[in-house]
Amino acid sequence: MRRPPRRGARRPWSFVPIAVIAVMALAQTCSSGDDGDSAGGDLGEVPSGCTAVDAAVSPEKVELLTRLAADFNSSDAAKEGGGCTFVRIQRKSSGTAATVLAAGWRDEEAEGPKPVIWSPAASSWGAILNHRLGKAGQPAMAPTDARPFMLTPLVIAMPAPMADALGYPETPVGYGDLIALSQDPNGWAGKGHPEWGKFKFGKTNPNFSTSALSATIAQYYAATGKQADLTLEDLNDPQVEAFSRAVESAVVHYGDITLTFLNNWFRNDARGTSLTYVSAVAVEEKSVIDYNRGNPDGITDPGEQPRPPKVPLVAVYPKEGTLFSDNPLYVLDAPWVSTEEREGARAFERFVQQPANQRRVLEFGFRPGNPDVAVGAPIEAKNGVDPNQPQTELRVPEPPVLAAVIDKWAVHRKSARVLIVLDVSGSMGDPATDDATKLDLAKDAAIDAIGQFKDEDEVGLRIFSTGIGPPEHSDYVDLVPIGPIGANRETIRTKIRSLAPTNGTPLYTVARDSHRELRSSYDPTRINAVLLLTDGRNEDDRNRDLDGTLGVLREGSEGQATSPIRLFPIAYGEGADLGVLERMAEATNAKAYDASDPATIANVFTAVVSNF
Amino acid sequence: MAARILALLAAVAMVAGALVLRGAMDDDEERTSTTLRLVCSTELAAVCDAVAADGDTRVEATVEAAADTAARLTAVGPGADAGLDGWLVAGPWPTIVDEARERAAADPLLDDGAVLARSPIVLAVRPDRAEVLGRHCEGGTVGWKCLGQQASEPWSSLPNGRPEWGPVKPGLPSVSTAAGLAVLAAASVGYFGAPVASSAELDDGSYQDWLRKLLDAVPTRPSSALQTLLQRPSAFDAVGALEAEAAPAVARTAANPKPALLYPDPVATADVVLGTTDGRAAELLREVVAGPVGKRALATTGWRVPGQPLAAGIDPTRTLPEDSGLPSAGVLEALRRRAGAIE
Repeated sequence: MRRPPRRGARRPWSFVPIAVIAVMALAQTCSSGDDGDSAGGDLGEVPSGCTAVDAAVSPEKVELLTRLAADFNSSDAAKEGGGCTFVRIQRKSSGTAATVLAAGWRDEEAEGPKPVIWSPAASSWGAILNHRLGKAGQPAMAPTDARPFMLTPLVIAMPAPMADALGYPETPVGYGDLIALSQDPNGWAGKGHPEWGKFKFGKTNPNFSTSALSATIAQYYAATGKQADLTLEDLNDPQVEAFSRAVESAVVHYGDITLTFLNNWFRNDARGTSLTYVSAVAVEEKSVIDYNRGNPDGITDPGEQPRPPKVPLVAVYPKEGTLFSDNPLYVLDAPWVSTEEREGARAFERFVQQPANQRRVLEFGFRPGNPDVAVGAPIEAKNGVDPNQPQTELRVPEPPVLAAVIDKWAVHRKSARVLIVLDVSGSMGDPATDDATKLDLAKDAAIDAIGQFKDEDEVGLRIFSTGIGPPEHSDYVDLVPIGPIGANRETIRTKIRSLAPTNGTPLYTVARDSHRELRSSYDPTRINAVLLLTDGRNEDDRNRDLDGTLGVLREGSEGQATSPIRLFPIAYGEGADLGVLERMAEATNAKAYDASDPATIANVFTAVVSNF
Repeated sequence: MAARILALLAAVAMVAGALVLRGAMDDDEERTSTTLRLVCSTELAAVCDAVAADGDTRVEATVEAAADTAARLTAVGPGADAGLDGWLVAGPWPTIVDEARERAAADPLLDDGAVLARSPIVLAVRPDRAEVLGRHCEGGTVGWKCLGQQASEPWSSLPNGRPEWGPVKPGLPSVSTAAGLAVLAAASVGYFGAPVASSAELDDGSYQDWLRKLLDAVPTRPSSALQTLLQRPSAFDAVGALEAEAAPAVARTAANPKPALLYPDPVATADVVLGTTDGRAAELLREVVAGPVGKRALATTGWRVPGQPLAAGIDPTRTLPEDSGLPSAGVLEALRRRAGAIE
């Protein structure tokens, strides 16, 4: 296996920054809360004579740790013992890193350099990694004595009027209360607010997202009435399974990052519809602070003026207890970590624990890991959070139970009803690599993604290009009608394999008609969505009405009696009209994904399917 | 004649002085030229670092959990190198090792010498929890027996206890560490209310139920339960620790409110000893660790050392019992095995 040089040498893979930029765009830069995905980071050139210490860190702390690494690299702390350490930060979502590490971090070109330091959002990921390695007969990599770098508890974010309606904080609120509310056919009417419709829950996908993993654990604890010692038997208890399915049934959609919900919430707030988009989302406390400061993504871009929302969020600390994202800094016990790298990593670990550096975590809405530094602003009531909470914690389950929680979620999650709409216009035949067209790569990614659906999901396949369909809808063809994928999986794959590029791109028409079709057959027990991949702009002279298209897409997504169809577009290749696709996604409270670098399409497809 | 005698005495004195000076110089030279191998138990890591950083000696320091060192030393064969010259550890671990070796028909390996420093065993408790639990406990203050009895029970089962506090969550270091074994031994002494003279007392059914309840209720075992309590108080309600770790940390922490530091009766102490092997290097190491450098390092890291100033946060008014109050090495080993099976 090739190993990039670490000492005073330039890296041979100069493509990395390009991939990094593309994937950072995919993850929408430094996301709030947890997760986000994929390789990326700030890989500077290692000064001559220095030892590179690569760190894979979860997205919410990339910006902070990049700054701290820069300070460290130019400090005396990096020269301890007469050596020279140069820390480089790369972005890696916790779940992805756990998976890649368990597999030995084989592909450095795709995943970035093998890390010496790994900092997932929570130590539960370290336990999962060690469990997976143990099952494969390999030694643990994540030391069990790692110190937290910074902390943030999992909370349930709710619009302030909704928390008020539940009597919070005078009346403690827990998962059990919210689940009962989600199962009440009268919804918010039972709390005196029929105008808010049914209770809707927002969750991310626990395969990717730390807040989702924590929320799913908390959900199981609520189902058992326990606060500790969740067991495999508990997970298999039919009553617990029924409870879990009930929770998932109230979910509006999933997703790879909590930022999707927060951004959509913020946009709805501007339109005055934040109370009908979603009622509660499991996020980290710091996300509530960011949102209420008018900055849902947690980053202030140059020239950006944060605008506090009209309806602020309140962090509800569940009465059953909660879990912390403790952001450990693991100096990995991995075969590729040398003694020199380990010592350099420990010097960096000591540096970030210094009080002056720990005070900086507060700027980002986190609680310091060093108890010598006080928890202070912005962790305060005016930002919707309470520094004296939580009062108790749920016990992190044993690793086999944690792994089973993720497996069970895949079975219990809300089923999906998805129409996959693929662009087969002529430009999809353009080369993406030396030996593959854009369509070739998209086909491979789509075929892989089909495997992520569970058998109960209903999936259909539509292709579009001008003039390829029958007279009644000449711009698209349904290759596989929507139906249970358990029976259709191979058929869909076969159809995808046979695709070939043809004519122009009737984007507006296919988006409008696909949305209308799903809305006419809306299934309230499922996540109803359109996954639309396109590499171009609308090239249809017969339909240039973007506003009209957006109006159709918005139907059903607003008001309390909604029947939302989410449109998740993928902007594929540099020619795709990302701006228009983002407006389409926003009109349906969904999210557009950027695969302007065709090489990222497999990861992007995975991220999109995580919404279902 | 008198002048001659004086001259002779002066000459003798000069020769003797020269010999003493030469001897001292030889010792210094020997200390700086000989690598002294020191192993410290986890809770004495900072002492090890300070001794190793002293420029006048050549100390090669290793830090590890006491149980790991004990297991290795117990297995050292006849005439084999023990891999260390001295083992700085809190508690009678060198005796635990030699007794284990004796059971295996091996020669003793270590001389543990005099106690170098002491630290009482304390409970750091969230103030509101201390008030509620204290009222429930015998004597009106939180004790080990009472904490173990309430462990994992909902706080709401106690008068003024709030349901959102969840279950009573104790925090304890692992018994694989010297601090962990000392804390659990102090807790056991607290349960019985008197020194534990024999391992047979540990077979008492009520005690075993209590021990299991206490240990099962520990929600997580981070590298330092005390640090975790200070970082996120929701993790634990009461943490057992050595005063050397807890008092300076509580004095320093910005946590608000700070945990209350309690010294449950009967007060027991963890006593630091340096177990040494045979040989000149071990002698030199003892001179360093028991000398000014070692004493200063122990005192500044929170240990009570005769003749040394106390670290910030250490209560100067508290008097310590004459001996540690902990059971013998044999009983401690029996306790460690029982607790290890539960942990």
